[in-house]
Amino acid sequence: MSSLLEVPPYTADRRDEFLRQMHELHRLHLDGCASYRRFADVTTDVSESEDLPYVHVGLFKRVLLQTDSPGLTHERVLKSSATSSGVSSEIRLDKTSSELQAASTLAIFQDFLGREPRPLLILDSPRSLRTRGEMSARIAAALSLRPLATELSFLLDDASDPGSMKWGALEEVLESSQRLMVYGFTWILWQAWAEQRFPESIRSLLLGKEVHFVHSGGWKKLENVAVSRQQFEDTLLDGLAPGSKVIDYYGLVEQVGIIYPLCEHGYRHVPAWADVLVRDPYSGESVTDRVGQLQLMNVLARGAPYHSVLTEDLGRVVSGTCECGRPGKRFELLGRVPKAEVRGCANV
Amino acid sequence: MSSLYYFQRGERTIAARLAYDPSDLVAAWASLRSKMTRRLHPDFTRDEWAYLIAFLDEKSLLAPVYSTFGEFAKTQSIPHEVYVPRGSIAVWLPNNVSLLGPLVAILLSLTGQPARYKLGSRAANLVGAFLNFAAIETENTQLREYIDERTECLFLDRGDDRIDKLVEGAAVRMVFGSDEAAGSVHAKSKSPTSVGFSFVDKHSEAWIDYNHMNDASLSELIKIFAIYGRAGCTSPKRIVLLNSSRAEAEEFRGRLLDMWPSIIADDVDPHHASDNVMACQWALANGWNASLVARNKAVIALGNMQLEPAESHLCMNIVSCSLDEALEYLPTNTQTVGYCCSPSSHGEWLSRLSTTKIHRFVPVGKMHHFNHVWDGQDFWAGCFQSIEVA
Repeated sequence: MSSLLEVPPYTADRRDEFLRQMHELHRLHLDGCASYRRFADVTTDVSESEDLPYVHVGLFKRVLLQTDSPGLTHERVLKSSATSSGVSSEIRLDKTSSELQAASTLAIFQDFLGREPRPLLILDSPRSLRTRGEMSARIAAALSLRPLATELSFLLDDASDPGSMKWGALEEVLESSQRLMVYGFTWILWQAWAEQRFPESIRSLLLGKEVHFVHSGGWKKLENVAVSRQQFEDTLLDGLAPGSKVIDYYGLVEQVGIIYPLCEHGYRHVPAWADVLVRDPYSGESVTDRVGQLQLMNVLARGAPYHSVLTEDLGRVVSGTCECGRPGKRFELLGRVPKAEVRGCANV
Repeated sequence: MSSLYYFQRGERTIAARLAYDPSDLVAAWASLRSKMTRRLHPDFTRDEWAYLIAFLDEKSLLAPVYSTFGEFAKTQSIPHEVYVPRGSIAVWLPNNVSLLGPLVAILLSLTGQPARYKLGSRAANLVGAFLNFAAIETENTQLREYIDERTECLFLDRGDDRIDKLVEGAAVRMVFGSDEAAGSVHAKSKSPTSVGFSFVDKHSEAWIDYNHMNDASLSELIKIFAIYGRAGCTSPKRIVLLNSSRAEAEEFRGRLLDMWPSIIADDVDPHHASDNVMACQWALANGWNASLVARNKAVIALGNMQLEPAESHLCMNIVSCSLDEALEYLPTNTQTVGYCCSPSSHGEWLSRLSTTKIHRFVPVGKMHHFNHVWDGQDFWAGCFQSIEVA
């Protein structure tokens, strides 16, 4: 277990230890992953996070990166949803990292949701679980909440059909619990829950319940149908008990285990076992005062070099202390690098 | 109302029934050049606009007319052959298509035959944009009349019923796209007398003789590559460096890296800059010796034919090899081989390449030049059929 995971997630003054562990990871991947070694061989010691090499997020769609080392047991491949490019990122998961990642997400979620377990309702289909050796990002995200759950219920009969709600399963949970969690991809949470026409019996059971909605996956589809964050949250929380809330978190399959929930003041906080840098898209330099591409780092990734990933998400590191009280680094997520059409002939 | 126009090809007199005088059409197109030099159309990049200006050269535009019919005849005599239009032309252009649309439209206008351009719903409509621009700027000309009355852009997605009608009504079908798209269009119910042209997935590459290259030829190579990266059918997807040692190939790569920023001043789009970072890592992971051009403008990678290339938009893959190896690895769907070599190498390369299926062997700087013979097919002449006169 990383010593960083033994402290609360939002803790200042652990940078030296973080850098030391990142260095160890970099060495592990250099030794165990030939592909990584070919492009990331930094021979001199580095004194700052920004000096450590990164893997571009798109590389996980082109090259299956795997680090082999004594004691590392590779288990499954985690696949992204491939919604925009049609090609999935593939992350080789290993046993040790999976344990660290589970501990990481649990600690972060507990900071935002509290420690008391409650039923978890997942807006997905159990069939999504049944692919041997592979796991979709959606299911992985849902299951990361499992340690906080007393029981799991998959609410959709068909993962691609938000109308396929299993009312019986929902009713059963509502009848027995006053507090619960609901997880779904942002778009599915909107379609399958916020826009859902609940039967009257279910609606009355929901009234006054304390519900924590957790969602991830991004706002693009909701922006396309002109749904604002305020409208989204107001619709979800309508009629629920005080203490109900909506947690929007940012995470990538290429950074599995590290999630960045949006705090009540609109920022995302960096846990002690992670770091976030912003890089200029043209010079590659780390910048602190402006928007650029986010580089996400963590000390959990052993089975493949996804410990330091340059994303195509745009963000800005924000200085000062957040009013929410969480110490350490914070940032704003500001969308994605805009894509221009590639013009050519037909054979791109 | 069409008329017969007379041409002379050697001893033979050719007549062609044309709706418009090709000289008038060409003059109207050429008249746009001075206006275009003053103002860049917002839908086009600077490179695209410059290419269009060059393309509208009067002499070049008349090339398909001369090639098909001959020179304009000074006197009329009984023709040996009469060319008549086949009729309505339908052109399929894929979503990401570039200048091909406007270029085809310009050339087809000279046939005088009605032309309908089928674009995808996501396509940037460069054909429509350019025809609109031309119509506005050529008032009271036959070209304006042709554009207004005989051209149409249709935004149709696969599965749209109107595609069947478009095929049924076309005397000439021209499909730019994938093998699958072309096969699907030509398989539809159509007139038995109609003709079809397919311009499908193609590969192109540039062959450089290390001993013949200099800063000017490197500059030309950079410019040609930077226009569309690897995305065009005429884009050099691979640079084949001949007659070089490994050390010389490294030096070649280094010179390209050094020169690039001064040749291509503008930054690429941010997502291309990011994609280049990925491509550089991809190439390195695959065993290429790759580096990013300053400000992430491109990737220049040196490897060999056996290495898997980084198939990324602005990743220039250079392979140093022998002529035998270059021929062995030349894909069967190669359209253009651009060359930079000495006259003696030119003869040898051409001789060896004539045993392959390539369609064009042109200087590197002319790789993107489009004309009425494309992929070995004279589509302009194909818009006519001839009546033999005895």
